[in-house]
Amino acid sequence: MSDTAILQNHLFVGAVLFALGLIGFLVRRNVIVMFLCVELMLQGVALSLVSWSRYHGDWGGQMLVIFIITVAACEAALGLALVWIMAQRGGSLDIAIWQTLRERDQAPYTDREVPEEDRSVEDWPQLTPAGVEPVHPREEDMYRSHV
Amino acid sequence: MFEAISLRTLLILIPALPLSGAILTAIFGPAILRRQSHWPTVLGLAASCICSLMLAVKWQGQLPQDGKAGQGVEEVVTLWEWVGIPQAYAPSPATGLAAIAATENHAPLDFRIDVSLRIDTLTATMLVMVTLISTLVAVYSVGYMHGDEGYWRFFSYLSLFVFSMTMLVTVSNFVMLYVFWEGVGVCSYLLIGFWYRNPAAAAAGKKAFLVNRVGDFGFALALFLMWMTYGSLSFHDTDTVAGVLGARRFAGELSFVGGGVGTAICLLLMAGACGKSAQFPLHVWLPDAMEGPTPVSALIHAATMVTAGVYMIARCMPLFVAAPQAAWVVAWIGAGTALMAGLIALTQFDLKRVLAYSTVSQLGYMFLALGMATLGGVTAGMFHLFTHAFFKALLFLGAGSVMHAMGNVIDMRRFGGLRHRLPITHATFAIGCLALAGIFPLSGFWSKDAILAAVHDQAHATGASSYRVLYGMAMGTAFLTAFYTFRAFFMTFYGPQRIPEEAGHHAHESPKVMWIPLVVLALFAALVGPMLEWTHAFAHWLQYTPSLAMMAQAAGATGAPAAFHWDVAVTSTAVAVAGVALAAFLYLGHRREVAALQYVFRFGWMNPSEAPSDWESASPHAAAVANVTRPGGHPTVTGHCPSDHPSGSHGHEHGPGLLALPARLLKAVGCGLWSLLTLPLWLGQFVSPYQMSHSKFFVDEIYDVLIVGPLRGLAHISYVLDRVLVDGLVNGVGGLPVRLGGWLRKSQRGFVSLYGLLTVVGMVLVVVVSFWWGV
Amino acid sequence: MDWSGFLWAAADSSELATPIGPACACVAGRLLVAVALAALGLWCLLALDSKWTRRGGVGLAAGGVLLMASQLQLVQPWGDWLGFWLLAALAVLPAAAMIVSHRPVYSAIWFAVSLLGVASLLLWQGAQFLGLATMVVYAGAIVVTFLFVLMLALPAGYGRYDRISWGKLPVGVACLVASGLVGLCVWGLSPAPGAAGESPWQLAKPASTGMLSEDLLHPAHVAHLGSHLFTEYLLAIELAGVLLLMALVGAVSWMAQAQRYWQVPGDGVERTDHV
Repeated sequence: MSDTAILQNHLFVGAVLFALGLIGFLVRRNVIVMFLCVELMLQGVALSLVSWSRYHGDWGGQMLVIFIITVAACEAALGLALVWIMAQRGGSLDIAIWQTLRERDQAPYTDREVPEEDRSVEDWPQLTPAGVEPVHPREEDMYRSHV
Repeated sequence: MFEAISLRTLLILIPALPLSGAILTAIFGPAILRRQSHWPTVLGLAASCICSLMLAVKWQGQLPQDGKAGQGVEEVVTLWEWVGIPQAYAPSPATGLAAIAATENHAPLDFRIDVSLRIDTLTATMLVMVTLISTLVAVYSVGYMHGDEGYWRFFSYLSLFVFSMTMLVTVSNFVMLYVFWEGVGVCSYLLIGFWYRNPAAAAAGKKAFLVNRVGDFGFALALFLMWMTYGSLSFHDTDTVAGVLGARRFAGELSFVGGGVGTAICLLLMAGACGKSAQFPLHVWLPDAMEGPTPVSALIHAATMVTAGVYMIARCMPLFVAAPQAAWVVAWIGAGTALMAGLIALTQFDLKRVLAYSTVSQLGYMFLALGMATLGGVTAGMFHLFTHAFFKALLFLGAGSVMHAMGNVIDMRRFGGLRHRLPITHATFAIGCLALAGIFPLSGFWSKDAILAAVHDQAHATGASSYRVLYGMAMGTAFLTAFYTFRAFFMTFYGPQRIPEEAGHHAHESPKVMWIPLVVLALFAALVGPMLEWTHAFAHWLQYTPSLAMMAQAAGATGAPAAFHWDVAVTSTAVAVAGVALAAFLYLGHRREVAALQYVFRFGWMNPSEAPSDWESASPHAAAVANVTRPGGHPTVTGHCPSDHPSGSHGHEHGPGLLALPARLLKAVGCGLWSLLTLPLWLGQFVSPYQMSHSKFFVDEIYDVLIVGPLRGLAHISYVLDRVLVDGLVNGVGGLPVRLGGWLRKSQRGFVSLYGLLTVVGMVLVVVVSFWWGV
Repeated sequence: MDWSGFLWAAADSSELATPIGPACACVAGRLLVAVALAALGLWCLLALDSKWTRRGGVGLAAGGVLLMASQLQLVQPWGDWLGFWLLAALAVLPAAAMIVSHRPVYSAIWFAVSLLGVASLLLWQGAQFLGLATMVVYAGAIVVTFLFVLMLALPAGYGRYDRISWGKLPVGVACLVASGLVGLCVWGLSPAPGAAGESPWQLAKPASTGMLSEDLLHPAHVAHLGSHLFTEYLLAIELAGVLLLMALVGAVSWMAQAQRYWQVPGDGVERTDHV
């Protein structure tokens, strides 16, 4: 009875993680965040697998999770390389810039509501300028003998 | 060395050498040989020619020396089996056609096609003629085609043609005959349309091919019928089956089929022969084929390929002997074509077309001779084929030489008096003309005389009036031949010297490589006839052909073979001389006589306003029919309206304003009335003998109306149906996914997230559905 | 083809029976409410941009999730129950924070925290190696790589596209679909009223405790895992190694080839229509 309860609860948590990752993948526009969400979905699956493994007393689920971690590492390496290339080409991590790959006669998606920049969080620490200001030969600048 | 080469080797080498020449030229011509592309062809053809001569000499040595007629000698070399279907033919009394096979053996027969080459005197004759002339023409082409951009292509085609032609005369099976029959047809098509950028040439090639298809359809039907009747398509006997033309049939063990079936076979064969040999009503392609290069005209459309029909009928002569009605039809077709083509040739101004119609006419002569279905007739026809090949090739090459010098101008009205400019061409052309006209002692005289003698004999033997009519037609054709030949000759080489501007400074004798073949051909044209005919050597030689041996036997039983008839010879010579004299009278020097002739022939006396005029004053570019028959300078009946004249009842025309409209109406009514009144006159002009001849008896136009037009209409209907119905259906079905996809395409907006969402929705759907149905 | 077994990668299809029955209607109704609540809460969190909607969203979503969780069997004893839910909260709440956060760097950090929760859940279940591997490999390596790339590609640390989404409707649909997925799972897992304590999926008998402790829950868990990994799954682990090597080479070669593109100024990529 307790084993079933453990299984059920873990599966539930796994499903919630999967769902959260899914929502994140669907609604976020930053490519890297989308990528993170995919990893979260993988975590949900991994959790479920380990629960089944424990429930059945079988190693298969855990082995599968090992390979999930391996493949996730590969995926992260390649995916991040692609993200980096895409960011360089497109100049942005916004997935919306890749709408240029849409069908020719389709209207592009444009944001209707663009929120104001939130300045309040931008309270980074300010470094005090240090050292001595170098001497500027101002006269020479103004009266040069030749151009 | 000469003895070392066996007959078998020679027989294989003769077609193999041109074939290898064709392949070598095709492979190495475009990139490596280029301007030297003629070498494989010329060397291959020359070697093939030498092989043919060696073969003929060796074969002569193998013939029985006692000279007794009626003994067929043949040898068959089987290379490999092409098709073998065991027990394909079940002789059954129910079909009624299997009578002969059934009497022999009730066992089913195999359908078997061997690639087998045969040698007998008929084949040897054809081989010598074909390879000799093609070698000379190939040498001539080196000069004629010099600088052409399709140089290698030309020689490749030429070699391929010679291969097909040698195979055509060598094979020993009707199916193989058909294959190479088509092979020469293809080569002919390729070479007529050699300058395919010229629409006229492309159309002419197409026309030749299509018209030949009509004949070939008959030929194919003949083959089917032959298979049904004889259970074999082989010429020669094999171990199990008696060939169609095999020795066992000659021996009388089995006979040839006559009656309705035999006549049908022969008539269908004749349809094929009519197509290939340009006999009425399938003769229309040959004059158009002159669009090809002149050496091609000389080789294929005068000397060799067009004789394939004659060869085929000669080969199948036993079948025609068994079906005399068919032979009679052949004779009439031949004589009619000869006469008709001769009449057309009278008024043509295109030198090559004159020669083309002359070819048609001479082929008709050969058909006439074959149609006698006697030994004398067949040998005469084959003899004429042999000699005609030389002098017609000579004439065509001479015409090519003239064209070469005149900058490809071939209209005889635009040049004249060329005998000083082109002395060698002039001399050789004269020999060719004399030979063609049948003047003693050149080749044409002997062969034409042999034909006339054969017809004469047959007329006497049967006493049928139809053969007398045929004899008269042949004699008339002889006159026409002499006339139009020398008309062309005088117009080209005599009279005041005129050279078209296209010639430039090329108006001189052709290079050596071109005139040497002319001289060689002239020698042959002059000497072949008398040498072979003086002792009846040709006829005797040909009698060893198995298919003719039977007739020789029959002739030996009934009476003497075709003899030389002094009366026929004298008459034909007189007729020919008369033709030449008339041509000289009309065209030698005093060309204004032509105008009078035209005046008479065009029924000019029916239209008093028409004055005799000199056609030379017509525009030099006026090659069109209308300008020829209605030379400039005289008012034609239909072209002008009376209102064009300044005088007349139209004085009020200069009053503009209110009267302008009635004046126009009056003018229109007057024009219509005048046209109605002059319609008969116009028709009269249209159907005058001159016009009939010049327009080639409107055969092309009749075909256009009767065949081409309806077919075009049918094709157009099919086109519309195809476009609207079939294409509409297909496009509709094909457009469905396109439209569906176009609708789905809208979802392709470049949103990765949207794709993800759709994927998840789909997955959820699958899960829910699978739960619901408990999958 | 057994689709359900294929799709539910964590479940063996032979153990699943069709949950058709009018008796479930009551549970289904509660689940529908829970799904709606969770979806609404997440929608408020993601699509609306004000303090109160965010707080309300948190409440709604939490309510929905708890309502769903209430359908499950309780983990006993209470100590375990408490521990489990603490760890679950450690996994789930940072995950939610991660997808809601407007700063990618924070997202990555929240993800790392969520990983800690997941790893502790794994450890709690006795999967020692996997728990540690998740922590070391994911939180230690992969997330750090993410942060590197984030710093390289997005020096400012955030972009305006991090604060907006595709619009309210797509966000709503996404939330509904994902919540519905969870609800579906719970529906399948929750015990049917007629047969107390039995879920409609008819879970197969669990392994006996003795068997579990002999192998899976043995103190030398990692040694046992290793012996299985390098005997039964030897080929697969070798292939995984090859895959890692290929990914390494592939990533390096892509980056090397991509050098060409970003060294060309004004490479003609259309960047107008997303502004």
